[in-house]
Amino acid sequence: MRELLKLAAVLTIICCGASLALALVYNYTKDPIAHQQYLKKMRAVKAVFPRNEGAGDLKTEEIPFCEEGRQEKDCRTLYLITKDGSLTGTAFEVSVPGYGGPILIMLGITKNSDVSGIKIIAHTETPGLGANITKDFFQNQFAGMDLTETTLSLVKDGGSVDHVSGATISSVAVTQAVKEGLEFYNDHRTEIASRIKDS
Amino acid sequence: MGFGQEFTKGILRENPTFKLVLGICPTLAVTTSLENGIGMGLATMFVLLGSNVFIALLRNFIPDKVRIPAFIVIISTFVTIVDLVMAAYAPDLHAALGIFIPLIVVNCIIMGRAEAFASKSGVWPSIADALGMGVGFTLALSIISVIREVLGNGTILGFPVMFADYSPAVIMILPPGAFLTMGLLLGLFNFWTRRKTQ
Repeated sequence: MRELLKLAAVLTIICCGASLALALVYNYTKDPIAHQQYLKKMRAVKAVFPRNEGAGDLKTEEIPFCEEGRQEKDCRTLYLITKDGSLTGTAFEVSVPGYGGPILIMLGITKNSDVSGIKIIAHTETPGLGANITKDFFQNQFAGMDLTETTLSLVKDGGSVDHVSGATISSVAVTQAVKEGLEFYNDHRTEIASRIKDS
Repeated sequence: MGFGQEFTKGILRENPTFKLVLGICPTLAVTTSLENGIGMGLATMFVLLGSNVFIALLRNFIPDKVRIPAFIVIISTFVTIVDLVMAAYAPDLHAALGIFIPLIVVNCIIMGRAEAFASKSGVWPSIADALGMGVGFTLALSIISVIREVLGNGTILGFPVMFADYSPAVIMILPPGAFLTMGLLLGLFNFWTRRKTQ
């Protein structure tokens, strides 16, 4: 009985020490981590607007956007790129199921409703195969595509998207995400434009 | 054994992958490219160093009967701390190694060294052991991943190294390629070390 109590006491002390250490570290790293994630998002927003790089008078506004009748969890955060108070581009995240889990994509759309650029933020595709969707040759080909042409499908399905070899499912998923994002934007473009704060 | 000997034993004589055959799950899973192999090796070495030091320090405090749960708590605490600190202050490194960090908790090299070495040795030898095992693991992963990346993708660290119309044997970066490479290397390693001792 005495031994049992000792064992329990030692384990309790170790667990308390571990929790204390974790609580302290979490507390100190919470804000820097949130800041890093914000910077990462902003870098992604910048990356999907390559043509606007270097323009100093561009402003990025972060606004929550909820479709009518949708629940709060379906809300998106939109990143509006404005120049002199008028909208030059919109960026937001799109998530689709891939081969190994959800693929999270930052999608940039110009005011002409065509794709400015995409950047894959997070994915769990197969390394060496599906993971190649993050390669430039795949991501960059979406720039300039829009919904009016039938280009938004893989080449072998009659479209103009070159798929990553050995990773048809991942490639189709990204293409689908871009399509859904464009559809969302087209459905709400006037509403989005009206959300710009007067500067 | 001195510091140097404790260090070098992990590289060849007691190589964690080819000799102790520990941590095979992450070995098979991440060796699809050299970058991943090196990343996993270094992240493991980092955690191994921390857990070995802590367990060596606490070795007289932890009763034998509850040593396994105690080790697991210490190791997972350390892994979480490494994960958080890296995410906060070295985001680029975290982006590259981040996916391997959760895998390290289940890497039996860490547990194996805690049980077989650090719980019975002082802090200095435990540091030497951790560094040696870490280097040995990193080297083993590098060898496996170089073979798989070259054959399966025709590249090393992303740069093409094969002749222009080489068509990559994709099977090598898929799970079967991991087993083939690992099995053949293990056989070669045993063949070589056995011939040396005879």
